[in-house]
Amino acid sequence: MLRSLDVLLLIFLLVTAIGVVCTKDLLGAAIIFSAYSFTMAIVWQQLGAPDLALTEAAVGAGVTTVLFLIAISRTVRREDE
Amino acid sequence: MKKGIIIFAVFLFWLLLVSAMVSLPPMGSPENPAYSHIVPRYLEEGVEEAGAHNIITGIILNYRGYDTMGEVTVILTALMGVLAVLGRENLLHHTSKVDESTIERSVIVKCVVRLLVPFIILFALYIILHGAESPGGGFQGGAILGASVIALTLTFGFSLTVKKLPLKYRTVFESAGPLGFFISGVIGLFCGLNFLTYIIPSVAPAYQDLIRHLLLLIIEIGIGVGGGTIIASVFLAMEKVGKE
Amino acid sequence: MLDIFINTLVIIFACIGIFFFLVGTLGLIRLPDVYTRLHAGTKCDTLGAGSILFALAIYERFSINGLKMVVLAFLVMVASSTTGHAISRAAYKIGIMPWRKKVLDVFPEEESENVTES
Repeated sequence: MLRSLDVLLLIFLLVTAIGVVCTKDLLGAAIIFSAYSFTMAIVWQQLGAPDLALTEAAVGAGVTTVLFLIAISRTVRREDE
Repeated sequence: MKKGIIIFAVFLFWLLLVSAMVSLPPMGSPENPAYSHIVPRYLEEGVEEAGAHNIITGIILNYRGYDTMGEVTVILTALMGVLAVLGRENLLHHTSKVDESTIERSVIVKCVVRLLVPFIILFALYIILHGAESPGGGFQGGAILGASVIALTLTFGFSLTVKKLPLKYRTVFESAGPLGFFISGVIGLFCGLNFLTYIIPSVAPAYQDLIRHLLLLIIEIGIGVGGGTIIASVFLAMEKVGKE
Repeated sequence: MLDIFINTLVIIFACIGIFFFLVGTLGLIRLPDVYTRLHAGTKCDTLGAGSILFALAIYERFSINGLKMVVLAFLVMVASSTTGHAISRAAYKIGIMPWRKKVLDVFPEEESENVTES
């Protein structure tokens, strides 16, 4: 019953993970990374680890994204080809 | 030619890894040593032995206490690395982009953040203090505390946060994680037991549970406050801009 | 009888939420500039997530878990609409003009010979 939701989540996880690596725009990559973190939090919750889900949602999606954004605003936004 | 050698070497390494992987126990199999010895013990006796209804908190703080103490120290070391590279902020020399910008801050955003941040801090305190009974604990609550400080800084400006959380308090709070472990762990040493035992033998057995709860609570509060302050300090160190 | 009524309400609210999510996602992809995209994107959070959470609250019969859903819906609505306001205000202040419908004039009358160069 819930297996299809898990498969969808894992597919979305793969897509976002590849998207983070392949995006040349670093701001976009940071935002996709936060989407990855939220998906990962739901996957942890599905696997029965609510503690890890809380950590992932708070640290991965919240704090890390802010720190990435500050770092990008200090340096350059585009990755050199 | 060079590429061929590289590909060959990578292939050899891959073969080595695959041959090592074959000898590992199958993933997820219930007969693995981890599931046959440790997990039943934790699940059956964890609540009584570790003193926390949330078994994960019991494992993190009691069975794997040294590991968690190392993690807390690693977080403190990470803060030291950031400060060694970027330096502490100082209101005399530094300001931030939020403070410098000529654009007036939006009233709506200010109002909503002022309304929401107390509830965020309340939620973080609940997660920290209730970590022994429900999902959560020091690390999670600390991250949410740090996030609330970040939200305040981004809306109300850099100088307000630095004034409200002055350096002399933050330096103490940042080390609260290892400090909590030290306070709770050393009590066992004084009573002639091991470090991080959470037991005072001279007290009547009826109060043993209460004492263990209190000591675990000290550690949780230490990790939470320390983690939150460390996140806030890293954020402030990254946010600062030199004044002209 | 009451069960059928409640289930119908849940399905209706969930369908409204899914509809707004679909429309918001389509708008986020198809609309031309920052403001219109924000307009579409905030609909996802406020109306979409709001009505889905409200449907879940009805499904829980407004027990303690259901009231948590209502609080969650309120928080999501406040936070996402504030975010939308902040982003659109910042975009306006740094000088992004709202999109106007342009008439595409491929062959202007005077400089028809310059078209191939530019």
